[in-house]
Order: sequence, then structure tokens, then C-alpha cells
Amino acid sequence: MKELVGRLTALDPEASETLKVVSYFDLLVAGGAGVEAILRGAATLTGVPAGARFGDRVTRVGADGRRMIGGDPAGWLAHEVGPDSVAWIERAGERHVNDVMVVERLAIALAITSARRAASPEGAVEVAVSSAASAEERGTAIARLRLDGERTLRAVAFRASERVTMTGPNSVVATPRGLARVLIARDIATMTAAMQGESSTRVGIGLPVTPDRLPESWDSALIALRLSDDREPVVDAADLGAVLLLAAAADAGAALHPDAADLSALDARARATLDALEETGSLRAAAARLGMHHSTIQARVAALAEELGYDPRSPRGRTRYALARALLALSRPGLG
Amino acid sequence: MTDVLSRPPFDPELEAALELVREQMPVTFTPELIEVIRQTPLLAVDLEALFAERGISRRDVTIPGFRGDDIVVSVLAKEGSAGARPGIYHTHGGGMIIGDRWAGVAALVDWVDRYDAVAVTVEYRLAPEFPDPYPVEDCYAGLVWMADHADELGVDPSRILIGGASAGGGLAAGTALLARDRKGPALMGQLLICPMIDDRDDTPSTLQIDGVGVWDRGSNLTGWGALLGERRGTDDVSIYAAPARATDLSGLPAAYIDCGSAEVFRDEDVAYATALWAAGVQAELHVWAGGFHGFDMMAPQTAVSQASIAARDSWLDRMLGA
Repeated sequence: MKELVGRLTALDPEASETLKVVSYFDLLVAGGAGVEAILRGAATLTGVPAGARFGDRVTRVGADGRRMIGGDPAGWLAHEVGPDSVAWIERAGERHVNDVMVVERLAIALAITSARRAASPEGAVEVAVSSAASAEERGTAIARLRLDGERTLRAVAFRASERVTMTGPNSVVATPRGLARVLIARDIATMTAAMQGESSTRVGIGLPVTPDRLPESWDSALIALRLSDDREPVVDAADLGAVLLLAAAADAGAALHPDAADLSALDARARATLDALEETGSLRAAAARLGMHHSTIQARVAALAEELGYDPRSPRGRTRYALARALLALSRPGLG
Repeated sequence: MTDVLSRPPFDPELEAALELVREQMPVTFTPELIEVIRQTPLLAVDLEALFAERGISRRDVTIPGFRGDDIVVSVLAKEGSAGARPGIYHTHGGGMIIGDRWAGVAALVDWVDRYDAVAVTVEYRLAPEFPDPYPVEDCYAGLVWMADHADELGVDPSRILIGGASAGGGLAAGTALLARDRKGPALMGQLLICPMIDDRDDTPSTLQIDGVGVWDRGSNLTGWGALLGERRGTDDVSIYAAPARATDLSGLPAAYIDCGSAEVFRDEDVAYATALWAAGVQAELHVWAGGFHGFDMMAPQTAVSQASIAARDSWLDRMLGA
């Protein structure tokens, strides 16, 4: 009960508590918390006052959560929020491990919140893809972005930390699995061409939809992003077919499916073998790709079939493996 | 963002704080966890430093509890104060199964300091080893001792207020009912902070807070099960164990009741305030939007906690202020 739990106070100054910091701010943003609440979060996590200046308006709170008068970023650890706006924390003496990250997340959270309130293009992007907004609100936002004349649009998902070089209306938004950047694309062909040089950026491309159905495209883009990895950094939801249904079912269930759990227990070499088999479709081609002898891979796959309880060489087993692999990817925390 | 909530959402600041609480505490307290949790001192308060800093003296006294067994109470007062002062009798929280008389001590010390009050906090015996009526009868015995020794303690016997949080709020309400029915001691008020008063597990709020938040439905069943055993939810439960069962609330002292809109105790607490008004008793009720159980102690810095603490202080000002 309550008295048995320590007050929620500052983070352990020695420990790096990345996840705590990230989820703390993500939840504030997702819940629609205001500027002062977000600053209180930073002040609580660091145990020192936190402030923000938008133009010449300063908001500042102490570690006890109470509002403070005045304040100035000069001399403190600060981070730009946007043009003519800045956030800071007032750590006297040596910085703690988490300070830089807290200020960074503070700035991102404040940027999203102020964009929502300022009726800015970023705010309109969030409304355009939000299923929580009414159809009318979305229509207004889409018109403001001058996208209302388009026949089809796609929402494209990136991890919030990713640098995005593509052009198009975009914004960092809160999702149930953490912050993500959404970009609304008119023409995916130009976009994918522009990405050729950036093979490491993970991207999830949403289904093509009419502008009023952008939230559906955004949902599918997030699933595609979660299915992407270093092997396949760009995933297009339009290629996923029924795997989208699988993802919805997986998100509704709590426990990891046993097939996915079995895969997670395998070592990297075993998974590479199965991946090669799945992608190439034959033992011979898989052996060639992995630079192994045909009989070696045959023996290895036979052993794995024994371990998994199904044969990934059979048509049914290959599908089952592909689905288990997708479930395992979807089970990664956050956006994968 | 398509989650459909069948309960009031948590306040966004509190929801973020809840993530951190989660690391220290399970959602559901099961009977098997009682021992484990008792052995994990989660609240590391340096009592002596706290008393020294606020200029407060502490005296431990062994007194007769239920059936004359020894129990301990601690008396807290401002150093160097004298004369008849208001008394605060404190019953701690912990679901009837955990915690000790120092749970909630920070607020208690604050009140002793601010109102120059004398506080007595009681080490009642815990369930399941000491099931009902041990806890509430120990609490009542401590109150009787306080009133009987008012002179020696420097307490004005006409200005004794009882208070506690959570299970401590339930015990405070139950002790107030005992004091009414046994014709004493007199109480001027009852401070019932998110009180645990209904064993019947039959409200919308208990169904809503199941597997989420703080002190969820399962935890509550664990607490009441420990206190009442097989009797939980049956007709064989006294109004002193579960004050929500009382049908006559007349003659009780003025009450302050608060809770969060997203906690198990919401509906029983609101119903208790309503029943007090119906009986002609003065009561003040605050239901804080998006609050989980005990939110203002776990996340006191949030806006909603600041408002809750300020409202409680305002009531105490009106009750005990000069």
C-alpha cells in the first residue's frame, strides 16, 4: 500500500535509467499533459528545478513540483525546443548520468505539446493520423496541410530518434508503444528512391488510403516499422497481407506465442540458417547464401525441425516459421 | 491509441509516475506475497532525523490492547510545548496486513508541528495472524488510553481527532463507530484518507480497478481475506470491521473523506460520505480525477496531489487551526 512505497523522487544519480526517462515523458505526452506537468516530470526525475521559455514566457517548477518565479536558461544544461524556445534543468555542480537525456526528452515532449496547442503544421499532422480525433477535426487538419485534394496518401513511420531526410509534413507523435515520427507521403515511389542511400534508416510504410482514413494507414505503418530490422530496414504494409491481422491478434494477447518463444530460444546461427531457408526457398540456395555445404545445412535444418516440432522445409512449416518470426519481431519492446 | 477504457483514465502525470511505482510494487498483492512484502522495507525514513529536524519528541509506551495484551503506542509532541493541545490519534495503513505505526509519519509530523498537536500512533496487531476484531479493537484500546491520559499527555480531551489512510482510514472509521456505540471517548473529527471500509467486493470501482493501478481488486480481496477469513462478504461481518456496512451513521464526528476516481475504494468512500450526510453528520468529500490509490503520497509533486494535500490541510486548518 501507499505508505510502503517510497515517494516518487529523483532517479538514482549513478544509474542510467533510460527506459524510465523515456516512458515517463512518453506517458505524459500520450496523456495530453501540459507544459507545466512535463516540466514537473523533469524536475522530479532530476531532483532539481526545470524550466522552459517560449518566446518571452517562462514556466519553471521546483523539484517539489511547485511553480517558481522567473528563471533563465543561461548557464544551465539546456536544449532547444523549437525556434525561440528552450528548455533547461538547473543542476548545480556535477551532472548526473541521466541529465542530458532528461533534457532531451523534456525538449521533445514540450515540442509535441506546444505544437498541439499552437495549431501548427506538426499539430495538424498528429490530428490527421489520430483515430481519437473526430472525422471533422481530421478533415480540417488535412485541409490545413493542403492534402485534401489527394486521392491516396500513406502514413510513414520512423523511430523518433531517427534523422529523417525525406520531405513532407511530419511530426513526432505519441503512440501506445512510445514516440514515433510520422510523415504523410503523397508519392511513395519518389520517397523510396530518395531513401536508397540511407539503408540503415528503419521505415514502416503504411497502406495507401484516402485522406480521411489516414489513422488506418498510420496503424499499419507502425506495425510495418516494428517488423523492420537490419536485414530488412524498409517494410511496406501493402506487402504484409494477412500479417497485419496477425499483428492485431498478437497485440491483443498478452503472452508470447509458443512458436515465437521457441525461436527466441535459438542462437543467432540457427536463426540465420532458418532465415536463409525461408528467404531462398531451398536448401541448396540457402547453403549457397550462407557459404556452407549442402549436407551441412541439411543436417542442421533437420536438427532444428526436431527442436521446433515442425519442418521449415515443408510449405506449411515455412509459413509457420515466417509467422513465428513476425510474432517474435512484434514482441520486441516499444517500436522494436 | 484505440484502447477503450472501462474506467476513468489515470491523470497523465500520475500515470507516468505509476510506471515508476510498478518497479517497486506488484499490481496485485496475493496472500503468498504478504510475508515477502513485510520483509522488504520500502520506506526508508530516518525517524530520529525527522523528529530532530522538526523539534519533535517521541515517547514509546506499552499499553493494554485488545483483551489486555501488550501493544505499543508512540506519542509525538513539539519539544517544550505544554498545556492542553489538540490530539491526533493515528491508525496507519497497509491493507490490514502490512506496515507499522510509522507508515504515514511524514504527514503526522507535519500536523504536530503546524497545529502544536500531540499525536499518538498505534501499533495495532496485523491480520492474518491477528484477524478481526484484533486490529480495530487494538485501535480502540489505544484511543481509550489516549483519552484516559489526556492530562498527562497535554491533550485537550474535547479536541481529539482520529485519522488514517487506506486500511488506517477504515480502522479510524471503525474506531469512531466503536467510540460512538461505547459512549466514548469523544472525537471531534475523523480524517478518512482513501479509506478501506467495504469487504463485499461489489461496486463498479472494484470491478474497474482489477489488475491495474495501486491496491487493485485482487489486493483488496487479499487484505479482507486476511482480516475476515471465511466471513468475508457474508452477513457475519461487524460494522466496526467494515464501516460501509453500518446502516446508522448518526452521532458520528465530522468527517473528511477523499479518494481518487480510479481506485477500488472510490464507490464505497463516496457512499460513506453520502450516508453520513443522510444521517445529518457533517462530512467533506473530495474525489480527485484520475487518482489511483494513495496517489498523493506516492507522487506528491503532481498537480492533482498538490490540490489534494492542500484540500486536506484546509480541512485540518478549519478543525484544529487557532
